[in-house]
Amino acid sequence: MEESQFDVIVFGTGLVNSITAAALSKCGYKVAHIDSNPYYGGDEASLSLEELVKWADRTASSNAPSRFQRLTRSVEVPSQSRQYSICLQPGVIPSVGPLISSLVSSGVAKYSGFRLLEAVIVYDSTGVKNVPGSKEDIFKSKEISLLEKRRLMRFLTFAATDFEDKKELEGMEDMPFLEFLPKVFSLGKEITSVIGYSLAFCMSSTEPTLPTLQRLRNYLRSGGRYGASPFLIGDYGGIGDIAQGFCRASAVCGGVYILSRAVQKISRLHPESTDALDTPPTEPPSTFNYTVDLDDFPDTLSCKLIISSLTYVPPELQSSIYQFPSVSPGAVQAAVNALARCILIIDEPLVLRSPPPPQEPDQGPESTEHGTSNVHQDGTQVPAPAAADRAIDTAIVVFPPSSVDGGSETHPVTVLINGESSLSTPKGKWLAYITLPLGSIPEEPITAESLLRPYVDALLRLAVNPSRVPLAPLFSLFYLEVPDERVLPSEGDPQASTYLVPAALPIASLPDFPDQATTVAEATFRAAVQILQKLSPPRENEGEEESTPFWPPLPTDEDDEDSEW
Amino acid sequence: MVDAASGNVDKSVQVKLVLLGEAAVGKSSVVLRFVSNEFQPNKEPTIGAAFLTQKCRLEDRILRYEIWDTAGQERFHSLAPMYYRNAQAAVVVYDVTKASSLEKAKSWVKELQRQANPNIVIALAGNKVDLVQSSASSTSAASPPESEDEADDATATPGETAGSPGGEPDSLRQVPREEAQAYATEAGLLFFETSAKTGEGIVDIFTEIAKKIPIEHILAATRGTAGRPGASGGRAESTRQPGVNLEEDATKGKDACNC
Repeated sequence: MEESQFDVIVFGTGLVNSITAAALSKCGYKVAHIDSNPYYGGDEASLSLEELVKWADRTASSNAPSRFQRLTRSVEVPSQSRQYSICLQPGVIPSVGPLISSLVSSGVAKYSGFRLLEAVIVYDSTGVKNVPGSKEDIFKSKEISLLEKRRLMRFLTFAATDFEDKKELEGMEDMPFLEFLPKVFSLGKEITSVIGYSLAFCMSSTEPTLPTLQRLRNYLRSGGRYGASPFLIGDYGGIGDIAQGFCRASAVCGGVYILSRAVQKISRLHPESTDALDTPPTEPPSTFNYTVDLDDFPDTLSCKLIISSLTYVPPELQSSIYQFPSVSPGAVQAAVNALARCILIIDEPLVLRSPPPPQEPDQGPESTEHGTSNVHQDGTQVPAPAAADRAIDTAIVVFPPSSVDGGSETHPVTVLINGESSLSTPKGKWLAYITLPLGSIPEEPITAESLLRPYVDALLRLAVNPSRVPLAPLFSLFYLEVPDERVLPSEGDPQASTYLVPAALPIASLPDFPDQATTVAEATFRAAVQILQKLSPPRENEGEEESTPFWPPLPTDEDDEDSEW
Repeated sequence: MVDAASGNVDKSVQVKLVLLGEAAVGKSSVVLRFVSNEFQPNKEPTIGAAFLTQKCRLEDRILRYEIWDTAGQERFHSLAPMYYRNAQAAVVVYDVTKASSLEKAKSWVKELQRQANPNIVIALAGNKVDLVQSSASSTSAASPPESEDEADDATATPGETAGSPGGEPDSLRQVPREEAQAYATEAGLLFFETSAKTGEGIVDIFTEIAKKIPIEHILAATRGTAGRPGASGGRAESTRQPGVNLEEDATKGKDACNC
């Protein structure tokens, strides 16, 4: 194959496309990966502060349709721009799930750093509380009555099992999860809210029971794999950095990377090829189906298959495209159609204030009798008895519906706090990513800023230094995010197309997004491999009917005699 | 999961080193020579390893170089920030028989000064010196005489000419040693002329870098990841999460999903 000829050209370096590109390169296909932006990661990029500001200003002034709308930012931009890694798609990674599996199996885990999320915290008008993440936490909790503890335990035991056929669930699969808990497990309002929004990360009060339970089960099983928390936070801005890692993995296997070049033209070489099966072709068809010209790039690239984000699809080719259907239609979308988001920089850590000393002193060694599996090996990370206030470096803070005056009464707000320990901020600075799910796109004068202001104020009151109240953020950027849900008028058969658009990612919670993206990437990869195998049938390993693995086994590291570091 | 404070008992210090330079100047060959003391003529453009590791002993310390190759991502100026980040050392390679490659090297040095850690140790390596020294050069004691026969082996890139056959070897040189040396001195870089083919100068790059790397500083920094100094909340240190190695579960028992 010539240098400018490829099996696949991938447009857009978002997480889905980056994982797909890495998998295809590792599989031996020749991949070119193109992004018109000067940075990796597309809509999930991790940017320096300066890049973020540029991105915001460019997006705000652009007339092109964008998933990011009504951006407003503070005028002043703090210094040390390059020490920030700010992700356009904040997320945490469950310790068990598709993304973790892919990070490990692809070797990409080695390119980045990961650490456990310190805490999930729930806000109520009296302050914040640590969410009990394990059975021990629940036993130790002084805020839950004995009766509630028993009911909660019963529920968590149920939720961790294969509950699909259990009688508790029968006929309840589609009931809102937040009604299911009181009805079937007699849980009180407060605990129901904590479970729904802070353990299962529901994005609305109407999310149906079955998918919520399945998600929760995954999180419960994630706890203890790497430590107490079920969630990991990626260094250097998390998701965007991971996308970069997959691109590097692709490059290491021969993938060619071209950034900062706009697409001039994508041309289809044999437009009629699919209909005219009977008529023999007049001349031997080229094995390539598309040519691609880029701005400021000397060569015309050709390829057999294109995988492309929606934004790169040229209008004239729309009809020959196969667009994968959206992953989880219905349920969540019905209640959430947009997000109001804020990225905040603050210079005081948030503090988890200890609750007032309890009355009952009956808390002792008996708490070890259950759930011992969660006891942490190195001993250091076991949450200390909340004897004193605790500054938090990485955490998720959940504001359930109606917990903040002037806030939403129907949807919860989640805040991901990300500080220096995850190498995403300079020392003494913290990022807060605030997300509010919205049932519909708000009427025009309403901005993300006006919707989120009450939460920003509530959050700042949690900061450490009481002498600096009210604390002013160093920087804020507000915007609405509306997923691109355009459905292209395309044919229904993925086998008949050589131009694939991966499924649109649904709106998903902080821990759900990364795994959803990985699932979409795997589906895209599998379809791509099928098409490529059809286009150029059996290579060396003929007759092998087994399906191609998502990630081939990693070569064993010979150079790595002492790999314990 | 090693508790970083006590984990460095073997005194081995991990150093991330990145390679930069124009295509086909021999970046990978330099590393291959260093890591496995091999040379492959007609080496394919870099494909394969994510990074290579090689130890380097320096007095009582062992440096463990984690050497990152560009994986071709530099070709269209598409190197990810991930590449530069945390690099404590860089080797910028040019080809002594190609003047433009030194210009390219200079722009990489600028890029490093812009993007990378400010304390990064940078070495400039003028590679393929075997091509220019068989007859004329007085400094070439180590060079075997037959080296010019395979003159352009060190590059795998088609179209890259290493000079006309039968020409004076010395006329192949397009970058005078003095010129590169002067630039390196001015820019504060270590400087070597090397041959991945004969091995000349290769080990020196890595040992000289090792001498210049602020080891104590790195040790302190690694120790610090568990509890870096200075968060304004006094207790923050005790709650800092150390990094997690995704391949090692905290609970014993092989993980099920590493299929």
